[in-house]
Amino acid sequence: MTINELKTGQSARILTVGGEGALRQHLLDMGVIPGVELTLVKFAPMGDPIEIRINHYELTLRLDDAKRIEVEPVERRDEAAEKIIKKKKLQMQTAHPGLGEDGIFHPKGSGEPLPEGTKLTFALVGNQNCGKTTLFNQLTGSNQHVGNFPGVTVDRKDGAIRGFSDTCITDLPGIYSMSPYSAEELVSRDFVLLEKPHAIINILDVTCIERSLFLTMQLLEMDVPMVVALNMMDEMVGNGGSVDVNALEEMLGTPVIPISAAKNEGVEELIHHAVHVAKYQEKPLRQDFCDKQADGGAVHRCIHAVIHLIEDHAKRVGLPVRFAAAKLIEGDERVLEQLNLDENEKETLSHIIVQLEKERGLDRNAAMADMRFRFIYKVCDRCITKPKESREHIRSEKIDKVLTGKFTAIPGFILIMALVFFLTFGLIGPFLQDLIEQGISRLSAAVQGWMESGQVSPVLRSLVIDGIFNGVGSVLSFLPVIVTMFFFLSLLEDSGYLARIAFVMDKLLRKIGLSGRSIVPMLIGFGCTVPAVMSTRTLPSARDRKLTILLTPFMSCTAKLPIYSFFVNCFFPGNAWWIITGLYLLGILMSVLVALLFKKTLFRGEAVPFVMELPNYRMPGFVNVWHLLWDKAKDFLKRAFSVILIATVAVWFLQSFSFRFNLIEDPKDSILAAIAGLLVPVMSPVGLGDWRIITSLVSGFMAKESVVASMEVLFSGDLAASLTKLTAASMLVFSLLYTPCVAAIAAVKRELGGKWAVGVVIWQCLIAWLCALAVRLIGLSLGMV
Amino acid sequence: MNIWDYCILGAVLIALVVAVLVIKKGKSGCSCGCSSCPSCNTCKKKPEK
Repeated sequence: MTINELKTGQSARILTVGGEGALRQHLLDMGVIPGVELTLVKFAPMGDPIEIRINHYELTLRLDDAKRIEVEPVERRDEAAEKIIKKKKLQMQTAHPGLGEDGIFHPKGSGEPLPEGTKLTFALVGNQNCGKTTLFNQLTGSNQHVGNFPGVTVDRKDGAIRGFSDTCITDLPGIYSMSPYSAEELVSRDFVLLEKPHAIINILDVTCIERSLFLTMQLLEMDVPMVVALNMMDEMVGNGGSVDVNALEEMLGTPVIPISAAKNEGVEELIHHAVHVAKYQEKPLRQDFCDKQADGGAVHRCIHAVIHLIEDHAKRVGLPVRFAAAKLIEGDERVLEQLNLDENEKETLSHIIVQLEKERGLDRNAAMADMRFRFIYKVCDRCITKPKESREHIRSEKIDKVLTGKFTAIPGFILIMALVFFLTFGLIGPFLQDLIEQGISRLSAAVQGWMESGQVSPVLRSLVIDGIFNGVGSVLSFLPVIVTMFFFLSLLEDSGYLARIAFVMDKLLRKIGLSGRSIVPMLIGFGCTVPAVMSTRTLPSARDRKLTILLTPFMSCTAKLPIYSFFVNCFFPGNAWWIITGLYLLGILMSVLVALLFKKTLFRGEAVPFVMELPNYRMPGFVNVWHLLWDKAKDFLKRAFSVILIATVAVWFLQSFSFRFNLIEDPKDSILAAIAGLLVPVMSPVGLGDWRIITSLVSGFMAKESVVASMEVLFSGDLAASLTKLTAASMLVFSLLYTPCVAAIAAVKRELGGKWAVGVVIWQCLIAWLCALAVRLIGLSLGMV
Repeated sequence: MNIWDYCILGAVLIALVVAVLVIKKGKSGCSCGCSSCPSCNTCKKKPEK
């Protein structure tokens, strides 16, 4: 039978792992190997994908992929019984190996310190969502954003370790193995291979150590000085588990330090060891994990035969020979190309591998993964006392009964999102916005009174009040709404709910050609399109990345909120929250339609497999959320007093003067009116043929917030009398869908190239124009003016 | 133009220069314009296609 045929809660042992290519390798790397037991936790509400528990963590799989994994049912595993046996073994005392400590102990002929003044470089490597960025922040004192979702970090980040200015530590995206499965995993692998850091800090989530050690073993093979940080030890110990650190250190041949990155425990000791091994270049004592005796030693003999075969090539290109040999056996094309073997050597290699498969009875990838996991189980057997089921996991299971339950998941999602929108636009946001507006209008009145009493020139009064106060002030008042929106988005991410949304929505998204993982960039897009576009790097296929990037502009970013609030307050007062929610839904609807169009034209084919780890729910960290909100507020204020200030002054100037630089009475004679007038024929059919509207929309390309600022300046606060409700409706729809701002387009250009970026600008404007036209025609047919 | 006119004009010009400098500083080494700029370094390295 296959996994999909199991019943919920049923356990089984894996017999074979079918399929091919990167996905199969990824599954093997994550511990889905023959002989391992797993439990089917649940089916997603729409019946696909499924959630399995394997090696003490939760993994999602689509039914199509699950069908390729053959299993045989077993009795439900009794983890408690296993624990008692292990506990007895732990009573054996192990001597303290003292690796990475000061003194005379320098293994493997190392011990010559690097020259004084050498800048020590470190790579921070670990699985996704194991706390790398939290540790990075502790090590460097920076405030990088962390989240409870696999793949928050999509590119490297550098910083110096606190108290060691001559160091540079690089936080890398999370990877499960050195076989890259997605773009951001490639970033990590290339960094370690090509930039050759002086040492690696390998961070492990000790609560699922089996899976984490898989990467550790591959890193040890790279023969680079390394320390292992066992993160989340507090959680492990709190739930009754323990680790024989000395034994683990001895078995891995590298320093092991238990830490809790979130509580800043053990971090000082980690720094001390990391700096020591880097300075003295103390390499791991062990790279050879294959067992001579296991299954006739087939894997052992194969690896060592390949090592002898390629040793000269690996040295020539600077690859660690053990690592290169293992990758060749696994069929890594990149390494094969790098080594430049001749035909004879390639033929010998294939013969060795065929012999391995024949003797071992497993294919090359499964045999290698099996060899590694055998060693890992041996390590865990000796060093780890598994905790009882963690409080976090029990809590997550309870919450998941509702939030990913068959009948409650989707209503729950809708309810949560509706609550977020209601609180943002209907309750907290407007209340705070009103307070700021009052403050700004009082300040504006005071300044105006002061300027009148000081007999300041009317032109300068107009510049300050109509230009700066109206423009920048109107944008500033939206700060609370934007911060509130980000607050809720960060709560969703930090709590771990975002990963569940991906799980629940996968089947639905597959209908439009995407995978569940694409929901994450899209939800981030409700905050800002720039990080949304960047976060598509976690998607493992180019097709999915492109399609998701093209859809993110339809997710209305927070910078558009001022436009909606401004128009809704002016033309549809009292209906703010549902009209704005309707606009968000329209954006989503358009993205679905466009995705269906793309699926049948530009992006034929299937979405990538949905293999993702489901983290436990955690309480969002106050400091983390506060940092994020502070960053967003700071960014918004910076934009308000830079881009928007310049835009409002420029708009004020261009609408106050003629081409001869004479002050004009009627704005229709202004420079701005003449320039914007060129686009009037294009925008007239959609009811936006007013030069002032066109100017505002053009300024929105720099920053969306400046649309409102420009309108305040150009309409002199008399917008309600100048436009009709129908025009306002067209404007709202056009603003929702037209081109994202220049920063977002720059992000698209960086990810997909210039042609796609230009394409996005034209495509979004076209869609916006058509939808605004539709709104206008519908409005006219209903008798609106 | 009186003394206040000159003061206000001067203040506006200084504000504009500072705004231009802020924009330029934000773009040095980082061009994505996201909120973490320029500390996140997200755009220093291109992803491999």
